[in-house]
Amino acid sequence: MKHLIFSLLIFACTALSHVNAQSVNNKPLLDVSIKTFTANLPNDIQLQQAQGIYPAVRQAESRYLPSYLKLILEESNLWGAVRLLPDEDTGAELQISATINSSDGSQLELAVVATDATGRIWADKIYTGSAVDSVSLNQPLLGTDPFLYMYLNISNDLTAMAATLSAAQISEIKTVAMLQYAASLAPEVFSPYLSRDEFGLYSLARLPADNDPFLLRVQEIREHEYVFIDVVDEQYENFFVAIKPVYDLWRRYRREQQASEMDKINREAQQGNDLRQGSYMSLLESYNNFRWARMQDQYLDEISVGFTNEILPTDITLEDSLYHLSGTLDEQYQEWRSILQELWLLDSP
Amino acid sequence: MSNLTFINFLSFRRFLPGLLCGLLCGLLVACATEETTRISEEVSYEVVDMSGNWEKDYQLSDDFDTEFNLFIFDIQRRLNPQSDNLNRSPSLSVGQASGSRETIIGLARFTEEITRMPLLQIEQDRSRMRIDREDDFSLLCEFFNEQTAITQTPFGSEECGWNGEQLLFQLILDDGLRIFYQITLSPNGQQLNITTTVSSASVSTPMTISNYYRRYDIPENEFDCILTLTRNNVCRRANN
Repeated sequence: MKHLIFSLLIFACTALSHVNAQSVNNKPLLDVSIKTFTANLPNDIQLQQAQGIYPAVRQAESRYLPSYLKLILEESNLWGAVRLLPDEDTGAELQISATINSSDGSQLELAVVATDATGRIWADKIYTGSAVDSVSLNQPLLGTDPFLYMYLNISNDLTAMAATLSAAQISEIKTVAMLQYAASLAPEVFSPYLSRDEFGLYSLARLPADNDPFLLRVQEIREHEYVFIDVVDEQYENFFVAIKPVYDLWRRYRREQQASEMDKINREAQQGNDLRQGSYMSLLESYNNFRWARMQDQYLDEISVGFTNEILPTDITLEDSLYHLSGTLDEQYQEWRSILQELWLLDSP
Repeated sequence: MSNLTFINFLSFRRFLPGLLCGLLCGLLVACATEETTRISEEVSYEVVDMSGNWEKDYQLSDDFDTEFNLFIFDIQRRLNPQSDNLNRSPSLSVGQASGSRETIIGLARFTEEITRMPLLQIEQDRSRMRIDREDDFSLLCEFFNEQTAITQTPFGSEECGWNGEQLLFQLILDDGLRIFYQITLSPNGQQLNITTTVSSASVSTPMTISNYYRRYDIPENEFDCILTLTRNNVCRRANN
């Protein structure tokens, strides 16, 4: 698995080489938390059909696209841990969220928002791109993505922002993030350490002692959370690697379908129908054109159903107990957070 | 179903044998105790459950040659209502107004081809029906609280909806081709009627074929399988 991802990123790495890695070399690296993208799925089935949205595929994209962004950011070596989560991370140093505005195989539009723990906005931008097919004999199988350049643009924008911050500012972001996580568990204890200005930006009011027992317990709980995140991360990686070939095929198929429909419409508009109107051959051609379009749609529907059947339950061992989490990853994450909250209440000093 | 005016497609005369047959079938099954299954959850109205495997009943279904002759008589009668064509063998001495020989035969041949459908598999849940046909695309219908559902493609549209206990599909395709399916389940749930009416802009009279289907059972699968992309079919032993 790791091999495949590594192969994929050999290609991405070369594309990132123009980013000035030196600019952040002497600073602490920020951890990045990426929330699975918002699927932006209309409730109305007719609207979904009109927009050519396949719900199961869109749901899969909400996990697949951020997985790819995560890999791109990891491979840049300009960040600390990059984590993909089903929900926002209360202790995120840099939180990335995005909404899939549109995705039809040939066009992708993402509305991306990146905010650090102090509330500073790193990016609030719409990224739009057209699929670029690339063929290379020596390129690894997984190394191609028709929207790779778009992910590189996102990565470059974030890196450019990081380059403008001093080491002290980055250290402050990291501390604020930890205190925000602590405040989510014990607001009465940790909220006073943070202050918020009129623009909504957080800063440190004061610092807890290094050996503060509350803080040590929070760090322990945070480590437990990482246990879950690692398990989830593995599931996302498995999902990504398994889905990528099929999803690539699906997107290519969609692009070909759109192109061939346009070709056919243009050809018929230019040449007209040679067959006599109302003749058997003419009726058959009308029917077969429609049959072809419907069978293509139905084939895509079948593929999309396969996307929905990929959810696996998760087993996690924590402090000598085995936790079996089931449901969607969102539900599992909520369940896990409530377990951690209970642990905090049971064991807090 | 109010915005569908399919009934205009039907020549009442052509529909009459179907109606009589339907009435007869209705009388025959009226004494049966088994009631038609209905699906009523989630949708705010009741829809008939047509799910199952169906095979064509050739004895009850229209014989194509007979229907073709009636179709020709019908066209001739429309052209010349005074003549008694029933005593003559059908010929295609028809005028341009009703369609040329080529377009009339074309319509009949095409109708015969799309109404063969020997086997059907119908899957249905609370909001959706899928009719799988051999060697053809599946007819799909999503139920939107008694509204019709329309699927558009660059080559035509597919519209469906309920008209009481009848499920209707209408395909409007290029070349003025329209195909209209009326699907009706018998009250005891053991017989399905599909009346197909095909019309083209080049022929004044539509052609209608009525086919009957009876249920057949396929052996119960020992396993429940779901399709996944990463693990293909994932199966587990079915709960009995």
